[in-house]
Amino acid sequence: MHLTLEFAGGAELLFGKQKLQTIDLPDNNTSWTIRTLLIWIRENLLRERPELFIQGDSVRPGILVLVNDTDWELLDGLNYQLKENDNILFVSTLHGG
Amino acid sequence: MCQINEEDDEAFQALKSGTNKGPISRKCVSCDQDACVVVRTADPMCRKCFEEFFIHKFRSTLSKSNVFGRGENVLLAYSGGSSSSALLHLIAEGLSVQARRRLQFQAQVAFIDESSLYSDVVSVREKVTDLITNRLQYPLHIVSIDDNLDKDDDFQQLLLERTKTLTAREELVRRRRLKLLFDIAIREKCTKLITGDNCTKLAAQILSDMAQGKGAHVALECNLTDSRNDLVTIVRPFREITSKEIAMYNRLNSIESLQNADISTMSGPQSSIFQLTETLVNDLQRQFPSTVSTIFRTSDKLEKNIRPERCDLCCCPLDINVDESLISDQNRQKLVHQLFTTSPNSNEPVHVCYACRRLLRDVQPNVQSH
Repeated sequence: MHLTLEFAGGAELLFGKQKLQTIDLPDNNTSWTIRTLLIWIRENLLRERPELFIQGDSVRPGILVLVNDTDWELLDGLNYQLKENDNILFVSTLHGG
Repeated sequence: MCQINEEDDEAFQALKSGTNKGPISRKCVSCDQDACVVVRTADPMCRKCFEEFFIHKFRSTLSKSNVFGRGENVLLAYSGGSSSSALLHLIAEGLSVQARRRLQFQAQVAFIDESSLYSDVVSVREKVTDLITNRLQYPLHIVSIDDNLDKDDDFQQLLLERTKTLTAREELVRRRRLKLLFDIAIREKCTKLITGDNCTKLAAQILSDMAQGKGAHVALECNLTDSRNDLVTIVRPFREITSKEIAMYNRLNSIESLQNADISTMSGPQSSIFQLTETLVNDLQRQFPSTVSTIFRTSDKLEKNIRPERCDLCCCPLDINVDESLISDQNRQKLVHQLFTTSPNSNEPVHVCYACRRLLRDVQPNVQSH
């Protein structure tokens, strides 16, 4: 599945200062959700300091998640089922990123 | 009087079950369009209503107290971060000729360049100059954080080698930044200084200040107008706006922040008192969306300390007796003069408040002899 990931507000500092990444998730039997995407990000993109981005099975509080420019709270949060070509934006609102 | 019998009240029960289960409605609370953001505790809003709500909140905070006089010179503290970028955008819109209720002051912008404090950060001076001088055409004043310091008392070296904790480093930078902003404002004859402090940051700041013995100044630090300096009043028009709302507004208007790093970047949630309280506030906010406003409203009710004597570090009114606040150590006195006074050679006595006195304990006054 093809997705665009964006990192802003300092979150990009954890991903080699890259603000935009396009990724292809492997097809598996179950559908992808934000929850499983976060696990994939931690294993594949996040090279250092995972605790600054992920806390428990979610993102660290203070990081805002937007799916196609819509607040993820409106979309069932972690359980949102990803669709082809979705744009997922992670904005850190924490001080210093 | 204001009590409500929660068990019996049907409306309350309905509200409670509504907030506890089921996804939030996807329709905007005010116009029935598809919502794109959840604000306050659980209000979905569409893009148009959200922007109106956001701008209205900003403008009403400003006009509520009639802070600005017509033609007044106002200095905007721009750091390049998301809050001050949004602030700059809103003020530029409010000052433009097409604005509905046009703001009536004269804006100038100050940028404190802190890039000398970290090794791997590129200075954003050029981008800032391009944005403010070329595109917005406001007078711009760029001052480096180690402005006016001799080569041998390099601020970066002082922070790295002579402070004991990240908390002390953060607090020193914060006080010095404010001092430089005041200096620019006075030099440019600005009587107001606008900062982009939002209420999420202020809530964390309030708790962090209290933990560091700065409780006496909390009322000043979170007020709309802060009169700690007799010549320049600090104004915080974002004090009722959360960091999430700012992030959303920036996204919808494609406002890019130029600088997201500071001295605490990548240091982790337990590295300083402010980082700790910020993590605490954000953690709580996720489960209890009224956390920030509760902290904020509570501190808003505190009374201001209005003693005339000021602390030489943070400029706040002194909260201890004049003889207790006197710094007797010669080297510490010299350090305060170097970093916080405009005339570094003066031998005037230095008075600091309780929290700044504690802060100075974590700073070694001079480089130890090798």
